[in-house]
Amino acid sequence: MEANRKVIIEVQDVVKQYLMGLNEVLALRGVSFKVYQGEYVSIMGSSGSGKSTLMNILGCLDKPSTGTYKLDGIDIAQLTEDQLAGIRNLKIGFIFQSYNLLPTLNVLENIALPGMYADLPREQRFERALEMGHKVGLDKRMDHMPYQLSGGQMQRVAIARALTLKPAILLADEPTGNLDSKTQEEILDLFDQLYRDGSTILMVTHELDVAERSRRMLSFHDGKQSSDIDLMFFKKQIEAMET
Amino acid sequence: MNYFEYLLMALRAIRSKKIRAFLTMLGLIIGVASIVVIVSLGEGNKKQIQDEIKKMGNDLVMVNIQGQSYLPQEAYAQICKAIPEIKNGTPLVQEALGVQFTSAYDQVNIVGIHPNFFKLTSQELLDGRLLNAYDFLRRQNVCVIERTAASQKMFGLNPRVGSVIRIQNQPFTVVGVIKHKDSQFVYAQNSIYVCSTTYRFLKPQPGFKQSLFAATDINLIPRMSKQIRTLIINNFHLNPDEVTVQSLSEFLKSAQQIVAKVTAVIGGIAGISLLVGGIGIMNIMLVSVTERTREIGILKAIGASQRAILFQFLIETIIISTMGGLIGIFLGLGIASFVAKATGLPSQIPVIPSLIGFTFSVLTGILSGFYPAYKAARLNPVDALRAT
Ligand SMILES: Nc1ncnc2c1ncn2[C@@H]1O[C@H](COP(=O)(O)OP(=O)(O)OP(=O)(O)O)[C@@H](O)[C@H]1O
Ligand SMILES: [Mg+2]
Repeated sequence: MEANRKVIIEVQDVVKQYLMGLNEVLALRGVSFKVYQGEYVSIMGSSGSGKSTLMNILGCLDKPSTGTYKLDGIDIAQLTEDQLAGIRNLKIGFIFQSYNLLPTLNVLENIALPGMYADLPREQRFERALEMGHKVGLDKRMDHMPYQLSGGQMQRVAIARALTLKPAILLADEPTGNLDSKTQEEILDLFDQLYRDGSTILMVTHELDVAERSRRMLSFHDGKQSSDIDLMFFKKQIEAMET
Repeated sequence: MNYFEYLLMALRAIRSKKIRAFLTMLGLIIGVASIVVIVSLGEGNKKQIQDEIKKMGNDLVMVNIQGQSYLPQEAYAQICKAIPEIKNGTPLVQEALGVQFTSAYDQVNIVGIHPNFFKLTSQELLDGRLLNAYDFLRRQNVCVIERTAASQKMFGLNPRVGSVIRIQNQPFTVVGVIKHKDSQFVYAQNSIYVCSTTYRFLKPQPGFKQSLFAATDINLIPRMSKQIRTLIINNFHLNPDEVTVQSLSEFLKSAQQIVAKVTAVIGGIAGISLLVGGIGIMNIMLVSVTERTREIGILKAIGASQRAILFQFLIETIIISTMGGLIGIFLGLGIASFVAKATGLPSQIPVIPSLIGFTFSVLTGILSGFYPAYKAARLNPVDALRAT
């Protein structure tokens, strides 16, 4: 799109196949696209279309069967296990549908945890965790345990944790999938704010009204990308029609 | 890596999941405690047997004639004369006889001896004097009485040095009081000792059945035993089956063999309980780490390296295993001393077996906690996250 902007994600002919006994399942059948710095992209598609498979590859939680994936200019296939851990730690903020908080740690400690693996000094970790907690509106809950929180609050903790090391990209796989519509709105408002503050966001959803909150929509069908729509363009047109 | 941070984190995890941590520890606690209990009671018994053996005193040769036969009165002197290795000795006759003191009457074990007896069996004099050669040769009506404690009374009364008691209606003057000592020579507590020369007049007998001999040198004892046995069989025409000649050290050896067997059995039981405990520890550790595969997936997803995850689990299992092991030791010692008090069995703090049990259980705990963590840390993050 905008040629002067930095490419954060570059996916080229990515294929992912699973072996289920004797059957081969092609979850991704050659996917290629780029995401630029500061974009807010949603990934749409019906169940089983390969959205999560793609997100896991983008999050370095899994590896493509073939094809290349470059994150911030780095070819992921070339990295050692330790370097991958470093990438997941510093460059990627992953937000899961099921929050995935550590049940034994409180909110502050959960948010500060990635800093531990980045070898940040303790004070700095907790200072930053407090800052992130404030950003997601959890100032009063910092000493709560995960089981004492609502789903929306847990997802805020997960978002704060994903943000704590200022990653190059925020990946969210159906972040509002377990939430009611009011809480969903709150989380999407938070994403809007992050977008305005300059974060690059990729979000999986299978609901159109959620996808519409992003600025660009990639659609998937049966392991292949079926469309790539610039929602900004449409929004501007709609605004122009309304005024 | 900041190790202190990992330690804090591990403590945090343990504290917030106290019940899980406790259940994990339980296998360890039971394993270690049972070893400590078994071994400490076992060692206590072993020590008791050894103490008993020590109490018996000098190495002596015991002669026992079984059955109907007796050694004639003069046999004792003949044996002493014939065998140069004998330093000294004493015949021994004993039987419960009627004893009267003032108005009280009872049956008391009367022991007829040579005055050597007291020295041979290391008796402790509490009051007065012991029997001597003069009493023996002159067949004096004197006796030495025995007390478990000097204050303990005989038939509710208190005969002391100078008292006159009647044995089989003959008056005997008490010349000394000795402290009671457990031994396999004298059959009853509160026995009364008289010279064997005097004893003949109390209870006419064809001779004696028991005697003790000391050697001029302990190394001569085995040879001396054989010589005594041969001499008795040949000179006094006794059936070899009726004559047992055994030295205390032989007796000691067989007692020690029993102790060794007891120790082996105890060791076996302890080993089995260690094994069972170890399997329990492994089981609970495997389960608890497998449960946490998802947690490991989360840690990987937010950027923990394999090394960091392994280190974290290692610290946690070390803390849990060590705590479990320590609790086990103290619980075991508590139970052992309780059982010892309740049953009167002796108990002994088994330092080395406890340490072995502790080390084994803690190592089992650490290894079985570490291995599944190692496996989980090597998983693809997606696969670890998918675990439920
Ligand atoms: N570990 C796996 N083993 C085998 N097949 C898999 C595995 N993971 C995913 N698949 C298959 O890959 C295809 C894509 O799955 P994926 O989870 O990416 O879909 P999705 O678009 O995220 O669906 P949903 O909207 O339901 O989350 C599916 O057919 C699925 O069955
Ligand atoms: Mg999915």
